[in-house]
Amino acid sequence: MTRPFLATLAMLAAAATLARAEATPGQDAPAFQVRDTQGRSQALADYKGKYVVLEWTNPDCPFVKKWYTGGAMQELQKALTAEGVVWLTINSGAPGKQGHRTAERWNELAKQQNSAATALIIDESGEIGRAYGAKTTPHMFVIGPDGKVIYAGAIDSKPSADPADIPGAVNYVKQAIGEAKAGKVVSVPSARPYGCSVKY
Amino acid sequence: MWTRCRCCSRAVALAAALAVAAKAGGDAPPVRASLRVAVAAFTPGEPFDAAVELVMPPGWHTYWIRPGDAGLPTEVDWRLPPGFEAGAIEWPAPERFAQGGLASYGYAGQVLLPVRICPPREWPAGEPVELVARVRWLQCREACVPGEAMVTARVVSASAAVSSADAEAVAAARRALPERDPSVRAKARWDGATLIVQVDGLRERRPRLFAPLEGDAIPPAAAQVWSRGGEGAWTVRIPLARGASFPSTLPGVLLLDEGRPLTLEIVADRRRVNAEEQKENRR
Repeated sequence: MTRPFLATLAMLAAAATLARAEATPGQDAPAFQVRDTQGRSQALADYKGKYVVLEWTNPDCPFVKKWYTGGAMQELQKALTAEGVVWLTINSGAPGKQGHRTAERWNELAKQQNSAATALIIDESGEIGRAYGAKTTPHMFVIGPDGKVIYAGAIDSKPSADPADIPGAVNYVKQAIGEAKAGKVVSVPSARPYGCSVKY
Repeated sequence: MWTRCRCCSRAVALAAALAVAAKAGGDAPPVRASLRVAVAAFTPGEPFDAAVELVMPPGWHTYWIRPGDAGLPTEVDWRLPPGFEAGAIEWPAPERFAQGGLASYGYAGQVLLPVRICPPREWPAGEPVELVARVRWLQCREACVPGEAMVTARVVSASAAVSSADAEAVAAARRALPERDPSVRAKARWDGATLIVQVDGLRERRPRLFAPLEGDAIPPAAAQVWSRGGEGAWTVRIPLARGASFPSTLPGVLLLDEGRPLTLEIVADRRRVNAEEQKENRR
């Protein structure tokens, strides 16, 4: 086989992977294996059989503050992890960009904020973020026990940075897990995410 | 073009309106917001033009009605006297702001967001009216900060309308709004991951950017390199967003290198792309 032909094949393969990669409801969630901020291995494959929530975050973003300052995000983490849901908080900010922190600083912040997430993941290369198509902070993904995405998008139905809007909004993450666990069809499998852009 | 006021129920909401100075969180220099009204005196029952002006600090931008990958559109929440109604914002064409493979649509520098105000048919002659609105925006540079301000303007009623010092600025903002050109038509066809848009009737006007008003088919960050086809046609090839499908029609705004932007509806042409195009897409 000629070299240009092989190169073309490789490009085609890369393009095909890319086209499949973004996390879309009903499709397999992109796999990943990384170390979390505590140094533990976190692989999506390890959580087969469980619901997994992925939360894209940036603590300096006002839309993230909306959810953390009053404790709404922590409450949701607590409620869901108590039901056996795995919650992974991910920061895809590049080094030097807003929201980027060292593992040590992340762990301090998590403690200070009373985060009830299962683990925190620093994705400074943006690899996981891009594989999922994470665009905003927050941007939420819910993965079902079979490894398929059941929800992708906004955390709730009211795009704003005002914490006063939280109580009157429909929380799509909670709703998706609640419906899926009850054997129902997820009524809102995706919603346009809102927030700050992920600082890739 | 005559734009009718839409009934705006929020406009009559009681305003516990203590004037709040523009504020933005943190250390961000705030956007300055003001209300500019084209008339000093209005005639009862006759709509008049106004615009919310936003002046962004250098490097910062606020958002279009469709913010793109991130961001929030600016909101204007009117507190008007009973009988007055305000139309929706008529959005000027946005610029695109790209960062880290994501992009959004909005405004840097200064922007006027035109709005039409409909006064009631009866209003005592010479009585002043305070037009008040709460303006909320998200301003972003690399970081984002929400901001808000109460804006006000005072007008009086008269038997004949009288222009204000802001009339020209407000009129100029309206003249720059995207407009429909019936001689310009756009159709789209695609092959799997590539969308091919062809716009006819532009002649010498070179397109720069199509900003969609709906859906997720066109990724905001996708490069749009427009090239000249035959007979005054321009075409662009855009990688479709992953997992997205193209609707039967896609409304949006077409920005041109020069001249007034156009409102444009891209109509899906569902015939199959020919083998030649497929080959090109895979190269």
